Amino acid sequence: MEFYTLQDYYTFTKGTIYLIMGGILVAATLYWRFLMGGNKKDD
Amino acid sequence: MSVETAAAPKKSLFTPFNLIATVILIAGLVVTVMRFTGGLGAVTNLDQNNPWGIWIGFDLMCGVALAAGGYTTSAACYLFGLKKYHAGVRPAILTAFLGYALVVFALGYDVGRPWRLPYPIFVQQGTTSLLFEVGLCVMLYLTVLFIEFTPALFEWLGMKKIRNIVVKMTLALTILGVVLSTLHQSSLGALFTIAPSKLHPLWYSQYLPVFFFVSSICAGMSMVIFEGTLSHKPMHHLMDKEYLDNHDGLILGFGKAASLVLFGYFAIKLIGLAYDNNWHYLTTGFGAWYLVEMLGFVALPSFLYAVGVRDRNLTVIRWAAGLTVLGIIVNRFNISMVAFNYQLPAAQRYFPSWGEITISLFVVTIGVLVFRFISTRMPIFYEHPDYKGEH
Amino acid sequence: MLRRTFLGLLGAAGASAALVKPTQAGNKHFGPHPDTHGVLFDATRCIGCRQCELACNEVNELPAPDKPFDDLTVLDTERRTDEKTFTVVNKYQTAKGPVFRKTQCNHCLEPACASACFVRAFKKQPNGAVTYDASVCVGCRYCMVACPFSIPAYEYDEPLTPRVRKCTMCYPRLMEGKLPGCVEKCPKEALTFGLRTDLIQIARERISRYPEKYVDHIYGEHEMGGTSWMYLSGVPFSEIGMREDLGTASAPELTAGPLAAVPMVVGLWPVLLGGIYAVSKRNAKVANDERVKAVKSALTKAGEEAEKKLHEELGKAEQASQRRIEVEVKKAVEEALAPKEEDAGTNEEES
Repeated sequence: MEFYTLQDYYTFTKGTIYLIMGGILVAATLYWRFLMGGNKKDD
Repeated sequence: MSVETAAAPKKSLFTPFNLIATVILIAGLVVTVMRFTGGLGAVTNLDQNNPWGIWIGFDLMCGVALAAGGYTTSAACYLFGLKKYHAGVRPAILTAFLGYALVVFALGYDVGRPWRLPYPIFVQQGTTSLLFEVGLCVMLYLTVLFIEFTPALFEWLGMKKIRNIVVKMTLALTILGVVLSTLHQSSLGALFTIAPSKLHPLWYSQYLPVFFFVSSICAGMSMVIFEGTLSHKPMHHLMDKEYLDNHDGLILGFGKAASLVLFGYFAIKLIGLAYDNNWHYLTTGFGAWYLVEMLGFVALPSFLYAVGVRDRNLTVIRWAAGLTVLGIIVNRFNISMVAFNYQLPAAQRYFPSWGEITISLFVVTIGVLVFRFISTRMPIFYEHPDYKGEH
Repeated sequence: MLRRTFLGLLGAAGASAALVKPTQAGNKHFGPHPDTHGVLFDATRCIGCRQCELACNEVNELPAPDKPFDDLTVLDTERRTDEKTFTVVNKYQTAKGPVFRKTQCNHCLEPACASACFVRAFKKQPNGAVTYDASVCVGCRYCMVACPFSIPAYEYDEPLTPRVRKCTMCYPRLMEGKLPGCVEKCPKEALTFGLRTDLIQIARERISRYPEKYVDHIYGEHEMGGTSWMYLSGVPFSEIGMREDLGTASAPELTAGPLAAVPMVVGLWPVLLGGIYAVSKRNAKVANDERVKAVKSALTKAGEEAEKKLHEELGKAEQASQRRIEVEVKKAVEEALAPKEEDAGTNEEES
């Protein structure tokens, strides 16, 4: 994939990054619930 | 029996405030028609050298910075676990929600084709643009704020089940709110990193995003104090025990935090000066104005806050809050209009037109009126009796 | 040669210091596209006849100006491009006499307008032209803020369909194999169209062949990351209204730092804030537990003390009643014994 300008390169990479950011927010929510689940025990 | 008829004495509709507001509303409507029949040129002083005026410098930049009370208060209460801020969360969220909604409303005046505002997100994404970032985050955050506001709405409407569902999302919404706020507050500053040749060196910095984000924290907390002070008398009859009991504590707490953050903000601005080796500019005219901004509107309120907190003097804290709010406006004005295009001769500089000032006043007035409407009917300053203690 | 525009020439202008230099992009070289064309403007040849302005007006079907193009008195005021004028020629009084300079979009290699536009309305075409797509433009005018040469103009008097207006390098004509209108019309060959790499060669040759005639600098070779429209001048460029303090960092490079920070916030803030929440919740819970425990132990202690006191009191009461009983018994016994003694006494008196 050839980019002739930094602008084109950034358009591509930033686009990917924005999509990943959306995924991170969803995944973080799910992962939080996974982490905080389990038997609640007083320690 | 509704709360306000029980507690508030019967008032005439023709208060001075209402009369002034009506005048502004009518003027605003007139200018609106002019704007959309004659174009931006018919109502603004914008030109080819000065594409952005007070609709960006004030309505957008100041509006967003001063609406930061939403994320700071909800973070204080729900993330840092400081229960004394709880009663302040709903007023702050309402202010923020209305603030952002009005920012979008004001943008409808400023951009050439407002119906195309969804384009950057849904049609063609300019992902290299910091304005894309601002737009996306503001849209998302407005949604978050709206959702955070709905429990008050649902309680008023008696929709218990959906209200409870939304309240369960508080933690996620608060964290998302802080994330989105960090992003768009900083990106508003980052907008100007693209034009180093047009922004005076004392205000230009690669640290602009950091400066904007940190100062938004000060702005938010100060606005909560400031409009808590403004609304105290008119809304007093609505404020419940929890609100009134914690009111002073909230002011002291935010005063302490604001003092510290202002100190930090001053420190990083100093670093920015050194990083770009801009000391020699301090002896110029712009330098004097820069010092006024830094010393009078950052260092001074920080110190006043500290004094007020140490002496537990709420009046001093309130003055510090007002000074900080003013300072944020001065800073955003400086970056978008005063230090921007500093290189142009005086004849080519921008000054707002009456049409622009009218619309800005129009937008603020609508905000105050809607705030008043909502807070006098919905459980903002008090807890709805059906849900007492359920937060 | 052109790759060097992307190799860390950031220190050139103080203001272009980057906070976070994404090293990936910092080491990468980009373009320009091998077919990138440009125009070389030679200020030593321009006579300020304004024929280029006329050609531009015709080719782009722009409205007629207030003063006709053969009116040279307009040169006495410095003008800029506007929504009806894609190019202007300005006159500058210099030590070498009047010098004329044509200004228009410089079709940067890394256009600031393209970087700034949040709907990608601007595009650097492979042939070098930077084109504008009015069909997506929202009219935010950030491109006007971003352009270091202050070229884009806006149709402020259009209420519903305002556009950004600027030189297109006659992109449609280029597609037909024609020259840009201004280049074709110039009677003095002050404008030369060609491959950018060729133009730089030509410019270098002119400078080396006539060193007294030219300032040894091709304006636009590196400024703002390099432009397709370049300039040669016989006087310092600042004397013909061109900024020499723009630096060589392009707009994408200037905004790379802030842009790079954005995803970091999204990745890390949830972790940080979630952590703060968990810790503060834990602290609150521990504080609450301790409070409950303290209350409980205080209650227990109070209970125990009350019990102890009760026990003591009972004991005392028991002792007290015991003693009373003993006293009563003793009294009773004494009373019982007393009459016997009295009888014994009276009996002795009788006998």
